[in-house]
Amino acid sequence: MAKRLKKLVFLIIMVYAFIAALPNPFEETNPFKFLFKVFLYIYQRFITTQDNQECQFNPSCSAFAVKALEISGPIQALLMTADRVQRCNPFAHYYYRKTPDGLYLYDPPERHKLWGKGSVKKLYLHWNNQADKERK
Amino acid sequence: MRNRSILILLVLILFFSVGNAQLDSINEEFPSESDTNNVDEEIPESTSLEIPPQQYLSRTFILTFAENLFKAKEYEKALLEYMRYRFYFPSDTIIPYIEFRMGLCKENLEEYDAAREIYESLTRRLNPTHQLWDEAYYRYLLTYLLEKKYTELYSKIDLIKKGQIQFPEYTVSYLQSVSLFMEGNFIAAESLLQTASKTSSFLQPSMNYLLSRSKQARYIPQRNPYLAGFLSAFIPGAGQAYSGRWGDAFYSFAGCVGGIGSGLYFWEKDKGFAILTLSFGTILYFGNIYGAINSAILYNTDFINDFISKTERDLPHKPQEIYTGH
Repeated sequence: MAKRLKKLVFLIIMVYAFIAALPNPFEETNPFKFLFKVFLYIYQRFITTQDNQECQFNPSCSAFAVKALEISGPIQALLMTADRVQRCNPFAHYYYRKTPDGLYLYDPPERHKLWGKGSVKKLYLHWNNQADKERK
Repeated sequence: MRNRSILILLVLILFFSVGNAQLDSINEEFPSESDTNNVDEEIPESTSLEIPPQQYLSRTFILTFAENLFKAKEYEKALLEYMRYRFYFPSDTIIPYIEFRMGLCKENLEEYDAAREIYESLTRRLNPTHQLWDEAYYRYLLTYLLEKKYTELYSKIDLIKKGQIQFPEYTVSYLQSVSLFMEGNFIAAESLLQTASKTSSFLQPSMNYLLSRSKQARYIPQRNPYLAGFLSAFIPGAGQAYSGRWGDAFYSFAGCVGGIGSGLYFWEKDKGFAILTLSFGTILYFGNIYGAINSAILYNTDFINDFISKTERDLPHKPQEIYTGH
């Protein structure tokens, strides 16, 4: 019983420490977004290396997820992050431009937002609808 | 006793890490010691507040200095000199030109709202027969184009076409066709240019060039985003391959098939592991469909944007370079 209590106290302290260390922890009202942010914070602060940015992209995959959460809802952010993880592969150098310093591949989340405010402009549909009308 | 001391140690480490995080954020706000040293070096030694000699306050001196700064593309400094001229000689006859130049400076500094305000006040104050009126109104419209506020621009152009504002029609048609082209609305630009390019003006070579480019736009390679999503729903990665991203296609296929396949394989042996891999595989699967749709859209957008930027670069009369008030 005492062992379990110790474990519980330890867990509570750990969760408190993580949440206290988050920038503006209680500003996020959406619980899904909050949990996603806590998970990303733990990954960025305690799991991944602190020496250097290892991801080939800029913003890195976890920073991309944080930004995706800021610009869109939790479902779209999850889809964007899942897509990004699959795109973060050795062939990515063929498809993306480099950042001005030449170190990373530039891939902002704004380019991958499909719906909602500030989503990517769908030039294909704009052009194709008119082309179809003209053909008819 | 031993456990308690370990627990206290762990708590201390955790709080120390929190403290470090807060310290990091504080350090970002303040410059380091080396930075402050550099700032000290940049401060000039002499800081006298003597009144400059009379010759530096002359009309020609300020004007030539401002013009030279403008030519050297030092727009912020040129703007200050033009403002100085307006302050010292407010009743001068060339004040509208000075204000026009101020608008150009603001435009080049990408402060389009401020530039628009200057041009608008000029068009309100000047007589429409004044030689600067057309130029000020053109620049006023151009700020909308530069800021990519196309709907506002079209509403202003409609006023001209209805005859409420007198303005050269070929210039308006040119501006409208350029904005339609930049928006990616090539068919509307083409239909407008077919009628507008027949009227003779100094803009005719540009109009003919834009017309030929909008006809070429039919042959820009395109990918259907819906088809890409549909393909990826059946075979993970197929949509990415359709958009020419074979590397992404391979990794999407491996991730989805590996995640869902291992989940199904371990379902009988280890349910916890199977649920974990299945959930990861499912998230990757939906991410793969999302990515396929987006890769097709980006494929089209990148091709169209390259096409537009090449056209903009080779245009004989760039919209920014006409009506500059010379």
